[in-house]
Amino acid sequence: MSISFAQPSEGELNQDIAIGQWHVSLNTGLGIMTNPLKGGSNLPLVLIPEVAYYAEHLFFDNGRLGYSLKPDSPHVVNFVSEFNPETRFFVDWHPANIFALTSSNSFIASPSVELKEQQPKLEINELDKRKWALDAGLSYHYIYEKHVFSAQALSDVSGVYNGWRSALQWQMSHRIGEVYVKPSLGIWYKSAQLNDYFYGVSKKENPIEAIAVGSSLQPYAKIDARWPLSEVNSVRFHLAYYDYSTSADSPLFEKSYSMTAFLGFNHIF
Amino acid sequence: MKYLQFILCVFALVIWPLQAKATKDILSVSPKVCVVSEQQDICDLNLKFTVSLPKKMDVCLYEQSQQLQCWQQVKVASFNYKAHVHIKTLYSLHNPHTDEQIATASIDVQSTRAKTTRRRLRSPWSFF
Repeated sequence: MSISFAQPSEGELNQDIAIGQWHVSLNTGLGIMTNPLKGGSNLPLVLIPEVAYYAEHLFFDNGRLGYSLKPDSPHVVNFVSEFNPETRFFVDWHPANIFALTSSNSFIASPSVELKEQQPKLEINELDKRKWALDAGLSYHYIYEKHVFSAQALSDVSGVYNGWRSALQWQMSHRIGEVYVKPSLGIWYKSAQLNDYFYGVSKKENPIEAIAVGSSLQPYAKIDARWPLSEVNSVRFHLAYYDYSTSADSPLFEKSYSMTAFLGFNHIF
Repeated sequence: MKYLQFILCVFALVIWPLQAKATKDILSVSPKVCVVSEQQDICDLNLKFTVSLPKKMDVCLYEQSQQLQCWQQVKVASFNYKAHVHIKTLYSLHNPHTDEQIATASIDVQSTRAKTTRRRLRSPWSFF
């Protein structure tokens, strides 16, 4: 077992990764993940570590633990498990957190407040804490040349929200000059139990009435770019848009989307 | 009714492997594995096929979809063939009149060098 000095190469274009090595890198730069919830603070992205380890079948990749049935086949089926990322919008990110540094200043202007009159004025810091949930399920990847089509379905195995989520995604790896570009398009389905736990309101939180949100479809688009400067350094750019308009029934939402933008340097250790 | 379903399931579980074994014995190939040093290397093999049918009939032997040899009214036969393969290859015995597949056998190609890379399955930015 060793720490790798992974090099940007043709292998990067077809998404190959060395097995039996830890891949550790750190992104340093400026960025933000906007929080669509009322009273939720945007998350400045300053330091973002990346950690991955792939064995012949087992893998750990930035928080996701998985086991691939046929890793060399164009049709890869995996058992996967990870913490449900929904809780990220409810966390008051502290500077001590290793994934990002926070500050009281947002990088963008505060969003306009368009409260629906019939909805109670609720802010997430007034609600019960949303716990981290552990999800597990199956993912399927079909690899065709530079394209990867994937489907996944995960359900809560920690008994936190007792629901499930599934997604379809298309991703392409492309090289433009010296820059590796990876656009993705996808859509998440989130069950009523998931949305009710995270974005609904319980009778305890709002004695007037409990508010259920129901299931939702959340399309998203992402683009990730890497411009290698040397064997271990590269410029990184990331832009993502997540649509939450079908969850707008929740009184917790102030905006119907979340955006992530980051520009910085990546160093491979 | 429950007992009938149970008995049918047990019957199927017992009979199906026996039938599979019987089908497998109709066509056999030797050797069954070829070992190469690199993953993409071609394997040159002198294969020996043995055909053992329950009754005399017309049959043809195929490598994937390519016809190698046909026999007329044969019950037992053997056939030597020089194969060039680089992936797991399927050989099958067919009835030329009905195109029915009668039996299959395969040879596997294995590399002595362990694979050093695999496909990455997650975007590093999935959390954000």
